Amino acid sequence: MDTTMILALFTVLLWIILIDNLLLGIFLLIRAYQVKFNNLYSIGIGFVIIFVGLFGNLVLGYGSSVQDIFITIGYFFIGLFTYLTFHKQKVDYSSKLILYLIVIISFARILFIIARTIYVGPTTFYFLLVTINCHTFLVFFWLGWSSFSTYKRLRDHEIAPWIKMRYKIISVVSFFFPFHAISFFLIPWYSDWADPSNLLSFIQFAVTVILSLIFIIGMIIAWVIPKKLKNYLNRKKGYKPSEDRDLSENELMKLAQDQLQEADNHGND
Amino acid sequence: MEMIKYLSIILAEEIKLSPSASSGLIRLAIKDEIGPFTPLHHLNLSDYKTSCENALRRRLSKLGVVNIDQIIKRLMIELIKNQSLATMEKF
Repeated sequence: MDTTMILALFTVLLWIILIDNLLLGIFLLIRAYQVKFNNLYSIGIGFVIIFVGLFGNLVLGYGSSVQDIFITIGYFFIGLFTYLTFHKQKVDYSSKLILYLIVIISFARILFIIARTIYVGPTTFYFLLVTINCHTFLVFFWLGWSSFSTYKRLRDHEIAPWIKMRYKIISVVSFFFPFHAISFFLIPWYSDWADPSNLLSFIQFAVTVILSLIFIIGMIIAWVIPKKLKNYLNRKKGYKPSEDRDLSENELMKLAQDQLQEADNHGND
Repeated sequence: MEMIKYLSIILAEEIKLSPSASSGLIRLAIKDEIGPFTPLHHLNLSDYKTSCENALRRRLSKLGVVNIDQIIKRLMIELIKNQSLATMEKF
């Protein structure tokens, strides 16, 4: 396979990522509207903003700086989703602190993106790379860790296996995805992102595309689990959904009263 | 509804009720607090919290359960710790 073909292949993969971001974003926004959950709006907006950034660069030619600003804002919304979904109303301040840190690093990242358009030199370039890495690792490790720690807590509880699978997939893809940011250090400071004439820059592009593809496909599987797959996962683990008896309010209160009375009698025995 | 199921198992442990009776009690509490017309899949963390803190507390008191504060406190801790279940069980 020659360089042109490899580049064409990665361009196709990039388009798949681009379209998947849009589709997943729209899917989550529709679901957010249906179930009226603000956190789902947050992640849906995040994916749509990332799509806008990629589209602005790849199709409209606005440049990688504009793309990076949109990606920064998109990542912020994903961080906000993590806070609203896993940590809202928690008494400890660590989650609030991480959210504030994400806000600060988002601003710093945008400032360095702007600075790099004004002054092209190694200083602004490497400061930008450090903020990109801090931002990406913080946002996605936080999501991965939050999902993983909840999964660990609920693993042995009687909860539908497809929900556990959702937690698991989100954890795995979120832990792997940020490592693409390290590959940015391969790019020489005077070179642009995804420059095909520079081998290191091209390797970085390939690593980013592959990890982004794994991330977005994982996220799609996690969020758009078809009913058949849910049933299969439930069946495979021998899970039976609880069937509540169809009792009236009075019957239910009487049942509860009788059971409590019985428990009390056993206690006295 | 996995969140209701999860909370009902904890409630069942605390007051020695069957999980189905506990689940029924929690459903009644939600109906008392949120009203009968809100679909269960629209319930968010605040809905679960207010239902447990207010209506469930009243229901438990009506049944003569002791240590209600302790039971509600445990339910609140579990609810907030695993709040993501309310989102993850959706669609």
